[in-house]
Amino acid sequence: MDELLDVGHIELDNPIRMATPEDLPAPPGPIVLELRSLEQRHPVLGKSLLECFGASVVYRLSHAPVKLSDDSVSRMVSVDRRPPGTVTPFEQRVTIEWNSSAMTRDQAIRFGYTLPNDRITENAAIGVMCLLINELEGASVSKVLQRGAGGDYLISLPDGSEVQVEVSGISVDSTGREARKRLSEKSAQVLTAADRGFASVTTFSHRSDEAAHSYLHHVVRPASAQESRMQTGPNDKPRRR
Amino acid sequence: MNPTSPSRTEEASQLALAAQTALAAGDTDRARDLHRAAGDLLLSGISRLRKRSEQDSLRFLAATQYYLAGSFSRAQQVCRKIEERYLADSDRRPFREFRQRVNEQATAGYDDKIRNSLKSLWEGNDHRRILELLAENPYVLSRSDLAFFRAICCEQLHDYRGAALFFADALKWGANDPDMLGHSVAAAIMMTYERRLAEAELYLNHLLELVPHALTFAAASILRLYQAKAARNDDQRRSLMREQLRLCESAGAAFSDLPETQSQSPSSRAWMVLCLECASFAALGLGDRQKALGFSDRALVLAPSKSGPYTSRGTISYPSRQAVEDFLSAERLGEKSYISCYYLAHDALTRNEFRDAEQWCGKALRRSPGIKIKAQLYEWLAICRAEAHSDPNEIRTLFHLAKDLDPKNPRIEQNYSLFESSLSISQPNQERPGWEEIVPQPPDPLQEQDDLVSAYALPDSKIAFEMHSKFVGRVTRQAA
Repeated sequence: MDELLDVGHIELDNPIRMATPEDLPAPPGPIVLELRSLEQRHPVLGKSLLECFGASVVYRLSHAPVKLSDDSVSRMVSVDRRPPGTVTPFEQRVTIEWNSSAMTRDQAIRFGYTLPNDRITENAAIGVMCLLINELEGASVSKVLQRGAGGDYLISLPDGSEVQVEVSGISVDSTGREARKRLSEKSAQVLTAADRGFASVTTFSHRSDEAAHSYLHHVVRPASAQESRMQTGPNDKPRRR
Repeated sequence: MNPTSPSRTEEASQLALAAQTALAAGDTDRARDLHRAAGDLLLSGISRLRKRSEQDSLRFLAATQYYLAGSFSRAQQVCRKIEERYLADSDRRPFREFRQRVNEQATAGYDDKIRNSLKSLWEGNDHRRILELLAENPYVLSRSDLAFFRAICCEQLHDYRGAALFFADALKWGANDPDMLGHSVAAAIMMTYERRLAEAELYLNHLLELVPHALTFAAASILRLYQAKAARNDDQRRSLMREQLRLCESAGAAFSDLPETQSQSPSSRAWMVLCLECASFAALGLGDRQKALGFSDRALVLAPSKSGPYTSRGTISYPSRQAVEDFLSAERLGEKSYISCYYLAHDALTRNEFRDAEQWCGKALRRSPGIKIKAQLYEWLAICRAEAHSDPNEIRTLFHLAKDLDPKNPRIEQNYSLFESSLSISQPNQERPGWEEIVPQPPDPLQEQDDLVSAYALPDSKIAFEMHSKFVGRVTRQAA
């Protein structure tokens, strides 16, 4: 697992007791996420999410940058999690499967040509995020709209609240540095618009072992910054320190 | 964060996702419509918002949808209404970058610039970059031209599954373009012609699965003839030729069902005629001369003003008066292969018309026949010259040329011996040597298959590339 991340100006200043990984209920066994389950996991947009991002997920997990054998139907993803209420990220492994999905090899081949490379990576990262955030955080996606070059992804949490997720994908990162840097940027970015949110960065060939890796971090603005924000309003000058 | 009603943004999200799905499937018409609809839907919610910051945030979302639809002018109009200071901090820099991109792409001449780049990249054989540029600018061509361009680039990159997938899309969306059918199999036929049989089979299997139209069957049928020629044993050869005939019948049936615009396309007819000509050889190889003639007759119906079918039918029915008439017709129609001249030379020799025979031999030799045919033609020329009492050294030279080319041919050796012995009898009105069955057997189309079939195929193996280049020329000229 990665060492503790330096996320720059972000501080976890949560007044409640910080949970540790041990506090979380242990998963009953290896987590297997079937791609097609996106449809059920996200009641509002599930079908569209599957159609739009499913083939990109298959493409990035099995065709490029790491080519699996043609009959491969799953790939393990190492998730670096920091759920709400925790301070120390920890590793969790999940397996993403596409054996019963409708994502055919032909669709994946087509995607390799019809979409720009960075779009495929971003789409695949969104697909992975949608699986992970539902499985691990119980959240469902309620809005997916692009704004300029970036995404605007809003999720509903089990308590009914809505928060933003900043998502990013990296095709190859042989040292892991780019992914850490991107996580830092996305964590900062999500907090420019709200006091808390998620940052998700998925790398499809991570470090020298070319593993699939995903950061899924819940980030919270420090309490002091929240107070300052309440005084100055949302559209005033930057709140970054 | 959520500037308009949840149902509206949810619906816009649905539309945007569906648009992205359509774009990924290459369906740019649908992607454009859906992105525009998402933009319109978002804008329609503006009147319900009171705060300028919320309105501009929504405009940014809508402008993005128009941009993704390729409606750059519309995106530019919406951007002009947005005041950056009302946007959230996190949106300001992305908005500036976005607006700059929109302004660039809304400029008149942007599409022409991309088309020119595509043309240059094609000429520079940078097919991978073409695919990237098309992915970045998917609306610069119609969706069928886009799919077709992708198909021929995949072809050049040897991704035959990808090529077949995009040809299928191009045909689905551009069925009215009569040349597309012919284009889609040109490269596979040329691979066959160049004896890249395994590669041709791989490609044609993908095409048969994904684009099973008349010419795909025709191309696969032609391939079988070449595979039969390379078969290890007679059983395999016959099995391949039977498969060839079956595919030719499928091609014929599908061809008759094509809309007239497609069946009348020159490239479609050319490939279909080639398929029928090759099938006539296979039928002959299977011992069914009548069937062979039937295929040739069908080729003639399709291409009555082309020389090839006459040559093909003549080859099968030779020796006969009809065959000679067919060869003469082929010559009148501008036959470019040596075949008709070769048979006409033979016919003249058998009638002791040595002057005519010499002329036909000369013509045939100028049309690049294969080695064994060339040897025969030199032998026949030697005989014609001997009959004309030409210089013996000249005749000897011609025999030597023939023997060098086909040293194991006993007949050439025998005729040469007859010639040499005739020289020792020096009488003014000497009789002709009893030439050893000068052309002894009519040429066997199966034995000469390589030569004969190659002569029917298009002579320039770059034909597929040239056909594709014409297409690139057309689509990159459109907006200029």
